[in-house]
Amino acid sequence: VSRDPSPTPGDDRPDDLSAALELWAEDARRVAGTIDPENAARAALDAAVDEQALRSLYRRYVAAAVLLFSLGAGGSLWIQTRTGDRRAEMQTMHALEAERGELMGRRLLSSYAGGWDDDRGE
Amino acid sequence: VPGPSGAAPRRAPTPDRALQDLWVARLRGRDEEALREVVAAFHDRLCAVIAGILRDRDAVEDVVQETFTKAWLRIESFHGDSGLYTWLYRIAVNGCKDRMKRMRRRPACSLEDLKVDVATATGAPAVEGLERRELRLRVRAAIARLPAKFRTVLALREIEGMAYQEIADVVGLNLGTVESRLFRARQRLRTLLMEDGLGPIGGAT
Repeated sequence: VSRDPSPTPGDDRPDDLSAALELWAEDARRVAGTIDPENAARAALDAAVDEQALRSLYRRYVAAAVLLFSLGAGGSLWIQTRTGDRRAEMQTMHALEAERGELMGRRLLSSYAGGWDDDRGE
Repeated sequence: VPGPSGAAPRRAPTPDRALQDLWVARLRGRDEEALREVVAAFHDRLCAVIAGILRDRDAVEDVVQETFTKAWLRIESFHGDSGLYTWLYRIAVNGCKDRMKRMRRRPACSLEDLKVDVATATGAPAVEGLERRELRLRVRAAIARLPAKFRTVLALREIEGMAYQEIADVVGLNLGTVESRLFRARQRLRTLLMEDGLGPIGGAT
């Protein structure tokens, strides 16, 4: 990678703006000098740990919700049709609530993931 | 590093493409040391460009952290069409855009805000001539009044010292649009400075 920006005709800064632009650049570099690079590295590594934990939690949550729904709804409906058992009816309702919870969980995760999805162009 | 008067600014050396590609491979292998090397190589210069676009120091720190975090988490989605250098700046510029969207409801900065920013948060020189200090504040106020799209290309050119084609790659515009945007940005800045009573300021000390 060439280190010198290739000069383009008309690219040069007008003299009357040079001092202003240099002051601005100086300010910006001064801001940069007050920020600890270690924080950036740590934030990235911490975020990776957080994301892994969230993904793991999500996988477990979905697995539990699916299990509850398949066992709860399917199983309890089967029991209910044969016994008229009130408890089976409650289980069915709980299973349906779990399904709704899963949907909410999905929405939550997709909104979280959306926040990281803007490295546009790649 | 400022260039000679009227010339395009020079920039600090950037790691060559082979090293950038090596970093990408190591980041894909979840090599934490590679992440630290990338941060060491790009942190300060990314911060400076972001600081040119956003005025708030905390926002600058947030965006630079997000930039490295996204790069670390999303390295698998990096196709390598451009170098790591360009990709990082693209993420940073998009991070600035998102930050500005969130800040849009906040009132525009006043000269008083800028005085506080420059004197404290940004660690402006404690000993600085009054005239130069005032000039610094006025320049900063004028830059803050530029539309963000102008500030962005100006920051990439004047602070980072990118070539036009590199700016085009970062902001996703064609070369001609970048050239015309930079030209208009400088014109607008000149107008703002003149409206503020500042003519040619090359002689300020």
